[in-house]
Amino acid sequence: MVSVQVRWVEKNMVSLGIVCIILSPFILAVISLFIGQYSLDPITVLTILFSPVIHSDPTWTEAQSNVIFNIRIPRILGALLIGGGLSVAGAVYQSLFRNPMVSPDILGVSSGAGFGAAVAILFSLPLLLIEGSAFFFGLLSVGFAILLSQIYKGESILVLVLSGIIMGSFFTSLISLVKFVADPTSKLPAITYWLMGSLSAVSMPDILFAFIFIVPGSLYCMIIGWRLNAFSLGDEEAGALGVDTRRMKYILILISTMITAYSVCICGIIGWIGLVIPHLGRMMVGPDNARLIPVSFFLGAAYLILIDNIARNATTAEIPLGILTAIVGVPFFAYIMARRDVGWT
Amino acid sequence: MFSIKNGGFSYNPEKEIFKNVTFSLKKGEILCILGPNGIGKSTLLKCCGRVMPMHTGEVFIEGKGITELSRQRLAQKVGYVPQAHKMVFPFSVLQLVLLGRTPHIPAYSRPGKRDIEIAMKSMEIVGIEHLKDAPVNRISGGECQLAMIARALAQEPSILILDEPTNHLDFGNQVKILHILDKLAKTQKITIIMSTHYPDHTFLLSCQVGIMQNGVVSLVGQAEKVVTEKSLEDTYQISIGVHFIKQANRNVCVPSYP
Repeated sequence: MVSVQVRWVEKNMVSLGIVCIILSPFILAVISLFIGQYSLDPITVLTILFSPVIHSDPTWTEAQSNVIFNIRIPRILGALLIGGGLSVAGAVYQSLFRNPMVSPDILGVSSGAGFGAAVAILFSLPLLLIEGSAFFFGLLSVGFAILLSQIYKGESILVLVLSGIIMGSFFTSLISLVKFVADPTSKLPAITYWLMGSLSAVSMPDILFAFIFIVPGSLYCMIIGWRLNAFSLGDEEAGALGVDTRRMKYILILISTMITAYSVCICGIIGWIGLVIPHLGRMMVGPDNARLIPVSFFLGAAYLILIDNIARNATTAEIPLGILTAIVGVPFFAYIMARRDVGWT
Repeated sequence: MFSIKNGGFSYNPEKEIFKNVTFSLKKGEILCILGPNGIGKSTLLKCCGRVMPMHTGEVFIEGKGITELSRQRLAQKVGYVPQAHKMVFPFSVLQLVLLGRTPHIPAYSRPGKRDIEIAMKSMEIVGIEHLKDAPVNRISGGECQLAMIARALAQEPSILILDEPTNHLDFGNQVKILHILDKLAKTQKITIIMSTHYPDHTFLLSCQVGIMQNGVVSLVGQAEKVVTEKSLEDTYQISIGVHFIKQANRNVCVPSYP
């Protein structure tokens, strides 16, 4: 009887934990609306927020409403979608490639996209084209990696990952080349800043595209999650269990690549999240992808919102996200690793 | 029930792994495949379950060619247990066994109550229900092999293909696994194809045996007829005595020390 009660409590604690994880990014998002460099008192923030619904005479300035609608809201939504999307892509890749050390850019998407952006900045293209170029080269890099892996005939995961690493280093060299020839007073800092990652330039149209590229793909990964578990047995065995491994593998690679490429497009290279958030999720809910993928999305979303708050508020100058994700994250992750049983020894 | 006709496979045109492999099995029969290392036993087993495609010939299950079946349909009939391997992520034994339900569950769905019941029952059959919450990377080799067999059973297959199921196991666990397989063949009428490195196992099971060498399955038949001093010497290149032991009431193989 007692053990039944204990199990009931345990089960509900887990459910409660999951509810907390799901709510956390939304709670953080709301709190984040009230903080920023441009100081606004909470009442003003609330009145501005509700102004589209409750019509009243404006008691605020144009600049104030601009801060809320064109700066804070897009940034927060951007952090939510990108943090979530990158974590989903990371969780999917780790299962697909049966490797806990894999991150979403393993097939070279980030380096490719980074190169696309760097070249566009070098030629002083407008923002839209910088984003387009980044997206295009991100997809191109992964496309080349898949082609390269097929030259070896074998469809083994190892060959694919190796090809990805090769393409990644190729585009990393090209990025260095672009930096090398870039004007060190104006272009070089712009490229470097872009590559280190920031959400400061995110606008409402960006969010719309982010929604299109990230949300349907992430949802698909969530509902296919249980079937993805079969990949942890290896491709051959997953096939023997009736899974169309080839088709599923390429669909999932396409989705993850789109998510990561678009993330780099609008906010530069944010490493670390896609690698570590899935581990955090696995420590909380175990390796079953049907749970892990949704949990990773919400954890990643909450994490990037938190980090972006630090990025825009800690100092008067913006701190690039690529720096903060790891600096803040590593001690936290080390603490968790020391405390919790990770389970893959 | 199960038959393979003129089966052939090669990685490259110059070297054929096997060719003209033909044999058939009745419902509930066990076939042990013997043969030296690297001769292609695993490849043959994979081809039997269409884990790998055969280049010539065809495998028939219940009279139907397996290339005509969809992957999913096939997985509902054939369970494949590879050589023991390590899982990267700490799935629980129950989660591992549940993966065997994959061919019965629609792509965008998750296992339901009935699937969990079937998984639990599979674990009971092999005697590991007490391990249901243990992480798969923390259990012993023998328990892991049993979990893999339970996973294949959860597929509710009529044919079970096992690649060296007794590999890496201690003496007791080897016999335990064989006993469970024997029981599955006798009580559930599952047809079993497995490979082994121990000719003695074929006497223990008193089953059908195929000896694989030089790209063909040369001998197929009842263990007591096929596994002889001559065939063993041909296969393993050492002289091996086959003696009847009264106390055990069966043949045993005794390799001579060169």
